[in-house]
Amino acid sequence: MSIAKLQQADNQAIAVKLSDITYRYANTAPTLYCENWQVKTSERIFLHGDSGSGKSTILSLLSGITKPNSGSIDIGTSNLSKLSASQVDKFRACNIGIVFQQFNLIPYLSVIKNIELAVYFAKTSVNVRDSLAPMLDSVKLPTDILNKQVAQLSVGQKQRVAILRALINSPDLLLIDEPTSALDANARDGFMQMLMSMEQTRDTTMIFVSHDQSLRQYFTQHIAVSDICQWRTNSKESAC
Amino acid sequence: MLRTLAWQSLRSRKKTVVLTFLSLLVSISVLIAVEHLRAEAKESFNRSISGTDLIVGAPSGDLNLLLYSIFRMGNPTNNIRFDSYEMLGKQKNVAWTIPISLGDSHRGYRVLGTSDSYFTHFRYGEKRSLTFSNGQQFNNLFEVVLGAEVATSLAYAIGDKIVISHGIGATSFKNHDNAPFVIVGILEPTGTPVDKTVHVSLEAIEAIHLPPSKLNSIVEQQRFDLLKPTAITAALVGLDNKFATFTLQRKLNNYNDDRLMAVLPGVAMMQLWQLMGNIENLLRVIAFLVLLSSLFGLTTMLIASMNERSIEIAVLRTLGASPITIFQLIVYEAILIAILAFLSACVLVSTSLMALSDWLASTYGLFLSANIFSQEVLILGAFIFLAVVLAAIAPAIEAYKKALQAQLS
Repeated sequence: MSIAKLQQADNQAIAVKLSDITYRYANTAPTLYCENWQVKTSERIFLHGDSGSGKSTILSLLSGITKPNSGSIDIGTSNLSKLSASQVDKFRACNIGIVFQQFNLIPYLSVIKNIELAVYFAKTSVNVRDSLAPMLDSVKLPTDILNKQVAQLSVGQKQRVAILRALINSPDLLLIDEPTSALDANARDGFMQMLMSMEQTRDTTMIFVSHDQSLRQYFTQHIAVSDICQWRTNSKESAC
Repeated sequence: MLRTLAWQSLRSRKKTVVLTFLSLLVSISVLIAVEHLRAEAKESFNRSISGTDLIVGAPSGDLNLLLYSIFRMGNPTNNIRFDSYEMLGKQKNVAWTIPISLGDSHRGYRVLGTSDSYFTHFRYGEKRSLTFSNGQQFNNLFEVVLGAEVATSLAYAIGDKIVISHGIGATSFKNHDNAPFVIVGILEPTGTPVDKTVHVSLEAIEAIHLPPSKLNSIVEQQRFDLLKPTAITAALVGLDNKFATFTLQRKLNNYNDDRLMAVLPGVAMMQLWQLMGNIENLLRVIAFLVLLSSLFGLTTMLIASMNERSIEIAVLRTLGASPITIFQLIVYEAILIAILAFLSACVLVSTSLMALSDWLASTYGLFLSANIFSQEVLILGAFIFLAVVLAAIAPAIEAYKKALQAQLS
């Protein structure tokens, strides 16, 4: 059952659940521990923390790109730990939209091809151009931008295209990682207002990660990374 | 979509991709050219003689007899008596015989003394007979018929006079100046050594070797019967019953009145081809080594691109691409380059053959078809495809590993 259907049954259904997660980069200490954390559907979470606190690692775990060493991650009704690698990839393509600090568009493809990639991997029958028409208005991009090469776009345009790509499959969960770090104050505020206005029309659960505390005004829920996950040094290795 | 992605990815790395493509293009072209040359050379050799059941000459080895009687290569070590040749024609099951007398040349081209039966019975290729592009066969003593290449390269026309030299060098110190020949016929091109041959009658060969005074007296008295040869170099024999071939061969090899050797053209041709096989294999090995080095270049290019593509791979992973998809993408890229290189190589070799066909024919006597598409070339294409996939596996595994460790910021 998709997260949207679950929401119909219970407006406060769980969208994200971390249970006793441990994660350690190969052969290196320390280990990230996340005991229990839940996010309800349609919630917009501002997850803040200093550099190196584990913000991006949490997003990577939530997206299923990184596998925890132990514990379980539930997105909606799906337990990622119980899915095969290919099922996780398919699940991510269909249900999770991700926007990164560097936007990470593929530079040699046109805007439309970048967005079509998301549809291709989700294997949905979305008509990209039809779906994009109203979304382009929302992000104030002209229609002819679709055929432009990514390399020809300004930073602001790339950022908005990255949002379109993340939303094209109408994901249940949107993960956003420091998207404003390269922007000045005006551009940052413009981006946040645009993002929030787009989200008003959707029921997407959003986890927004940033170290910039000035952005907390846009969110009703603020959580410090240290409140849900901590890095712990392996005692045996420390002794050595 | 994956193919589009692979293609666009290659386009974004034009410089390294073009260099890799060129390297593959050259190596595949060499490979196709060698394979085509080998097949065409074999075909060209095999088409040199057709319908002849036995070649009869003085004992000197199957291959030697074949080389000098058919390919005009090397020198006959001995002659056979003319009455032995006449004996051949009287044998049971012998349908026709063609006398061959060698030893003279014209500006590097071999002169062949023969009879009317040469133009009637000699066959090449798919049992094709000789035809004239101009003129007719010789009917008089000092008339000559030229092969197509001789006429073209020396710019001869009907009615021109030529002088035959003793020996087979391009430059001779002994010309039979007393007996110039008139060109009465030029043969159509055959793609065989016939094209490089100057044909005269057996009597003419005898005549040019006579002292001028004796020759003048024969000509004045019209005593051409005195020019009957006493020996010839070899004879081609056609039988009306193929089953009699071995019997006749044995009989001729045991002939007591003259030292004769009869060989089967097919068997001698096979021996010749086995000899050529070593050169052929050497060429193949060189061509494959060139391809191998290009494939290493392809692998290096793909592996080197992995570092600059780590973000691209991570982006694809976040969009839902599996590590296997990333693996496939790299293999696709390699296949795309290989297909382009293979098709371009086919076009390059075909157009080169078309452009160089006249030059190859006139300079080296190689009659190569511009149509390179044969079963061998298609098998070669499949082999290259497989080799490219194998060459792409190492970088694809590298991409797969990167995909598993993908991290974005």
